Amino acid sequence: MLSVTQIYAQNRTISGTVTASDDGLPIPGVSVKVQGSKTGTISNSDGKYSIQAKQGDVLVFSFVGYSSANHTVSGANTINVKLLVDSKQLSEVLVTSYGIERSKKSLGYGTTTVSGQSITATQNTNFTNSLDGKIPGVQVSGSGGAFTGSSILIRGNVTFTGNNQPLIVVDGLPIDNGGGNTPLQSGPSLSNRGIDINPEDIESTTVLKGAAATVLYGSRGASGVIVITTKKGTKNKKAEIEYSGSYGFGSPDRLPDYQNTYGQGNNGVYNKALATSWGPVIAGQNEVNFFGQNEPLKAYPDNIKDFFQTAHTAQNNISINGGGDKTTFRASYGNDYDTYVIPDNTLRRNNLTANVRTEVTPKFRVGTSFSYINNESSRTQQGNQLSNPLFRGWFIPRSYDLQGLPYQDAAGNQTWFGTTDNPYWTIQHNRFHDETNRVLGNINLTYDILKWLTADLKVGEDYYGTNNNAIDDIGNKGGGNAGGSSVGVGGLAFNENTYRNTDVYFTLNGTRTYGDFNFSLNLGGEYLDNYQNYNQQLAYGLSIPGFVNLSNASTYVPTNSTYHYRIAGAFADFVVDYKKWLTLNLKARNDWNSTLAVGKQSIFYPAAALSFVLTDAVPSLKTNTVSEIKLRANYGKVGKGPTDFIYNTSNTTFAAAGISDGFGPTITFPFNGVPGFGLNTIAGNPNLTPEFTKEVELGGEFGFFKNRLTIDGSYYHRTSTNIILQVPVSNASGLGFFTQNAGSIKTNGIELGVTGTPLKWNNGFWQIGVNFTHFVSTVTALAPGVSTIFLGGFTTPNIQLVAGDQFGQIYGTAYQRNGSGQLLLDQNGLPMATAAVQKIGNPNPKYDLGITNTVNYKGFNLFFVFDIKKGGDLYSRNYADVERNGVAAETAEFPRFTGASVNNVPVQTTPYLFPGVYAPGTPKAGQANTTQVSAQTYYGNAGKYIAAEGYIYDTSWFRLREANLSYNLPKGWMDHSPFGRASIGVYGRNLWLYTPHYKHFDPEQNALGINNAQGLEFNSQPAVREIGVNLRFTL
Amino acid sequence: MKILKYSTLVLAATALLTSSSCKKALDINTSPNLPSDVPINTLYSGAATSVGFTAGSDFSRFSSLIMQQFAGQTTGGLTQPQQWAYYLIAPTDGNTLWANCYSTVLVNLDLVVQKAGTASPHYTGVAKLLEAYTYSLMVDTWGDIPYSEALKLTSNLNPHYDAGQTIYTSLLANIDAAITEINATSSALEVPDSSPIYPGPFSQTKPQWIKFANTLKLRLLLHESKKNAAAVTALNTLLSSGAQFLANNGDNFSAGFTSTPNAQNPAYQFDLDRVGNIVANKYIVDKMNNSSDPRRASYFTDFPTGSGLYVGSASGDDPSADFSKLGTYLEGTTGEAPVRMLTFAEYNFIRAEAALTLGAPGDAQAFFQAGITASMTDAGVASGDITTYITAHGTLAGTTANKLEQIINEKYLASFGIAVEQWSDWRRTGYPTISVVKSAVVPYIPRSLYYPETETDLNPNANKQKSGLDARVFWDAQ
Repeated sequence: MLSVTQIYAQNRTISGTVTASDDGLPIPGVSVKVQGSKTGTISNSDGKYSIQAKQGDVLVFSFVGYSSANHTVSGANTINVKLLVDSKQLSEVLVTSYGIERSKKSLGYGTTTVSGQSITATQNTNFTNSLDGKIPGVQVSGSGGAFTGSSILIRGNVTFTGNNQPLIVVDGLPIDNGGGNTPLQSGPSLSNRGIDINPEDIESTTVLKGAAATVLYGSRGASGVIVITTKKGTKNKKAEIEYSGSYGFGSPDRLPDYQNTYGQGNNGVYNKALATSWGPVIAGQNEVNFFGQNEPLKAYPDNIKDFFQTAHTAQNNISINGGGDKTTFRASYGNDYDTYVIPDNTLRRNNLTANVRTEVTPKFRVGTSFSYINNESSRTQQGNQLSNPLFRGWFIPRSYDLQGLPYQDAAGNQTWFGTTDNPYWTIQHNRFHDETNRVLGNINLTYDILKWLTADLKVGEDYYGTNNNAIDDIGNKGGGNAGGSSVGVGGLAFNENTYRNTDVYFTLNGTRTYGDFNFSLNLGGEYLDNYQNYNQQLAYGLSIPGFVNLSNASTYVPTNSTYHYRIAGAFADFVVDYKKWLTLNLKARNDWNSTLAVGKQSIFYPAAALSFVLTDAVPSLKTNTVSEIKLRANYGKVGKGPTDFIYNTSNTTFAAAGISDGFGPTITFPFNGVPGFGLNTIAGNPNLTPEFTKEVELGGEFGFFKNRLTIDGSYYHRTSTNIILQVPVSNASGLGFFTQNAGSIKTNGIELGVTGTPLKWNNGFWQIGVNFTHFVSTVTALAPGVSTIFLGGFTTPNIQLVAGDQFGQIYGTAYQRNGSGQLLLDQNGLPMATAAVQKIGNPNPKYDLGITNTVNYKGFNLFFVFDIKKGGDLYSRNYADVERNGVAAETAEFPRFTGASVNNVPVQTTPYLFPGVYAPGTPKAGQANTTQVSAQTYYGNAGKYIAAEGYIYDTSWFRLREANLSYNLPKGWMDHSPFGRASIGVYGRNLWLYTPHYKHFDPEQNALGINNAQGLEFNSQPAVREIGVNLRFTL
Repeated sequence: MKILKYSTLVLAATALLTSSSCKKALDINTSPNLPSDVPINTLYSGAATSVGFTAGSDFSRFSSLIMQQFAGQTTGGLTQPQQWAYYLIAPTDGNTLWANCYSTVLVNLDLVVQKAGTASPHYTGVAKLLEAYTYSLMVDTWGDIPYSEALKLTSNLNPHYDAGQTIYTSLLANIDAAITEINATSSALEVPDSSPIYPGPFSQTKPQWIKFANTLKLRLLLHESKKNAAAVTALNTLLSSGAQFLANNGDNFSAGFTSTPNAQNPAYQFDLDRVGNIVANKYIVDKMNNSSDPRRASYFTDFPTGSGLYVGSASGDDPSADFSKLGTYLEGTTGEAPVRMLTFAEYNFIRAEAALTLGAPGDAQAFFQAGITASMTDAGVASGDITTYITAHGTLAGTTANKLEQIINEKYLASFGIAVEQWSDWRRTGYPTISVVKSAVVPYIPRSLYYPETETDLNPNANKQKSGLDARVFWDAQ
């Protein structure tokens, strides 16, 4: 027997190929081990392995992201293995804060991870635009215009006028994502600096939402944290080159529905100098145009459509990654070239990234990662200003030959009937160019002091400089770049901004097991130094048209400002679990902020979280239906520290004198060569504390049908207090603002993430993810004596905070109404505006619903995201403009003229009636209105437009946000080629949009860009529908 | 336990970090952007220029639109000047002006007074005069306003309001104090030669400041005369006291601006930034067309260009660019026109009115003609044309009321675009007899502005908002 056994027990070579069950492609780097022995190997780049094993040995195949598989060696020498994708396991371990890894199962708070694949599915240049609909509890809102990003609001607003955007952490270190605020009445739309991240470098993105999740970030954690892990090399893997590229075409996703019956003019009479289309019926009659030429009046149905061009997006990325026994590496280069639907807008981005990590000794590891980003763009003016090509471009008279008529003379002087800049002229002559050069880098040392104790040190730097230079050319009418003083005479605006953030952290991480208890403790310290410098040179009075150089100007207004703050922090993260089903997590951070007064700089932030896996505690609960029940609860307190000097300085400081009347006219100092200073009307306050956000969260994770259906949900209640506010005070005090810890906000919210696989078949599956976000942020108190805070906008409409109401409501003039809500109309049957502004809309959606779908069949993979938003009001100036200027289709719904005319002026029909009663003081006070009015009166300035209320619309939408269909070329085709894997695909964004209450435009716009003030749209530029192809292969 | 040992180590390191060395590292909170103190001359320059800016921007626009000197127009959307012209002047429309007055002009003038102390009486005197001028415009515009409790910074964020009468009394006393201070023989610090108002060495401009002080007193007393008999007495006493008043156009209280961007006259800048929003009003244009007034060439631009014709717009007119705009008198050719705030012409009309109605010394007719002459000279009218005009329109005739109407009508023309005073004259006298505009949203011509929305929102001690724009300021007796 013994000898026989020995014979059979002889080692022989077992070989085979490991492939993935979903796409059938070989998996390189799979660990193959003989159970119970030290023998092991790894599959090669073709997924092939060979190993010495005996009959009866059990081979264990394991690879991250796949379920392990065991195969017993029997007679055959070839064992081919298919590994099953384990989506559950993928998210099992995630990075929380400071590189600390935790198993998801043990977390007592909700988090969401978005894969890099999902972020690059539709080739968004700006990764913030790829998160919409994918994260429960997070509201992602695009801001419109060229190359802009999205506002990311995690679990509501926590501050009034400060930044509500989350902290973005890349590989453990914070990076700046500022800069996405778009000015209301000047300049181009601006990109948030998150655009510097190459989405192709992102491995995954984990969103830490609540206070208990983010507490280790202390005074920076209140708005949530987006933790980005970048792609790294894999150990013991042959170097692999990966290329991905895409090319897309974009066009405005919605254009207004225009009338083409009536021409330029007023009251039915042609007028060559007016912007309105209330003129005569277009019938080929002869008119003298603005250029003094005789021209038959005709409609130009596409004069606006033809203004737009096809936008192009080209992305090319190449990377190499791999690793040996001790060292892993990845290097990548990304190139991105985008244009916009408005001519002369371009964005060029180059990303060069490399990381390497090596084991110096078995206990000592060194890693480093560096990125260099060059980001350059040219942009056109936007916003509520005369140099925005679409300020009046959306309502160019229907009879105006925008493409055919000249807009400048031979010398480049503008020739145009309007008081705004001609769209083509402003694009060519009022230019803005910027360039950012950025370095993100870190060095990481890790040392295993003991088997269970590791020390980790990371030093990181985020450094960038942005230079922009812009010109308002001679003859401009808007002064968009350099301000009103450049109107006519021309102006230049040069900005030079420097940003540096140095961050050092040290952690000591230990884990121990005592019986059924597992302990883990992370202790850490962090030191952060942030410096920002802004130099600006405005220059006026140009002599050479189009020459963008400061020597071209005659007067100059230079300004500069510097900000510098430091934060020192110490933190601890303690976890104890009992048999892995009951986990208690205690965390705390203490911060010392330089921006607080000496003696008041130390602030403590604690948190506790509990996770209870019921199905592990009571295994008998597990059935075929119920696979997992986990309950969690937590409490945390985080903060938002001040980042400016002013919060702490004495309450009398001075600033360069200057005065402005709010309409453009401005006096700056030095004036006439004489310097001037004046009291800084924003008083500081040495008694400030950070803002605090406390949060209680209850949630659970439930798995059914062997986790084919999972539900992850949270309810949370958060209160933010001590909100730092430049509290507006009576100017009669001599001040304008007094910095105080003033108000409070509370947010209640529910978030649900449901993942299900409704269909599963041999060669594929259909997986649905439903992400539901609902929260209500309510302003509970403003500063004493303050009834309202102005967040942004105009006299009417604007966005305000009012105690007791939801965050950021839309205020503006309303129609006057009587006690029973009927419109009060003047004797001409027209509505009247209220003298004071009042609440006219709520921009906050009732809920956001994202539905992600992945359908996999053989090599085909279809990914698409529905983005559903319910509610959310918008004041739309574009909508108002196309109506009040008589270009929208509905303004010609009824024939405007009877056919008769008096003194050569056509008699207008009066098909419209404002429903309501005559106002007190009118002859027929109290009686129902019977005065019918014409289309021009109804839609004109004195009609529907008279009150801002008239253009508040519910922007509820249902859109196909993203779609990508890709095909993985079968492995067989690749065998005899140099390629490893290859896929081709088509993708699209904003493919379909349904807005039941909104016409003419895509309502996903915000006049102020990424800003706390949401709900205003002013003269915005179109959102883009993009369709493209992409290709990806490895060598 | 080793974990304890290492924990202690980290904690100790952290403690070290946060002790002395760290304290220093965190003590970096002095702003490099905002100085904590500045020299007095820089405060003065900023404030004095702002006096001219506020007078030449919102103050001038509101009163000139209400008084149908300016008209609101548009070639596109509805503009604010159009709304103001038909009396849709909302509380929010006053926010910026109110803030500029207190937080840009007055608070800095107050700091000048504090910094100058008793050592530099020339400075305190000049600053007090500029304060008195600005406060008087504010009382004339809004009525009762914060005064005695105002400008106390964080020590009083909610100032109570003072009665207009109380403020006027205090302003007149302050002007007297200012005169004494300006007359002081020495002053440690001197108002800089570069002052935008009365520029030049103070030794030379001193008499002008005194003349302005006395003429401002005349203006205030004239306002009060309708209601307050004591003011009439005070006015007559002042006139017989031998006090010096503005004596020629060179003495005009005006603020200088230049052709340089960001240093240009605010009316010119407004015209650049808000093309076509303000044009000449049909009322004043027709009035001046009827009398072939030679000031039209500098008051307005002609339309069509080169025609020598002047066309004004009335409230409610259709959108159009076919009107005369504001001319060089208010704007200069490239923004270099001064903002005239109190002129020699006005002085003469005050004297004419006082002689006619208040029993003041002098010949009403002579002052009336001197007023017209001063105004026309300032507008660059040739002397021959002035003579022609005076021959045709320079004789007072009829009842006292008729004569007063003539005086105020001419004063109205001389006060083209001025801050508030043409409106005050109408409120005092009812002249010129303008009518409620066609498209008015209220059935009356405004007699004061609403308190700004910021004030009623932010100051719990603010006066209650007015019931309407027909609320009267204290001297505007029924």
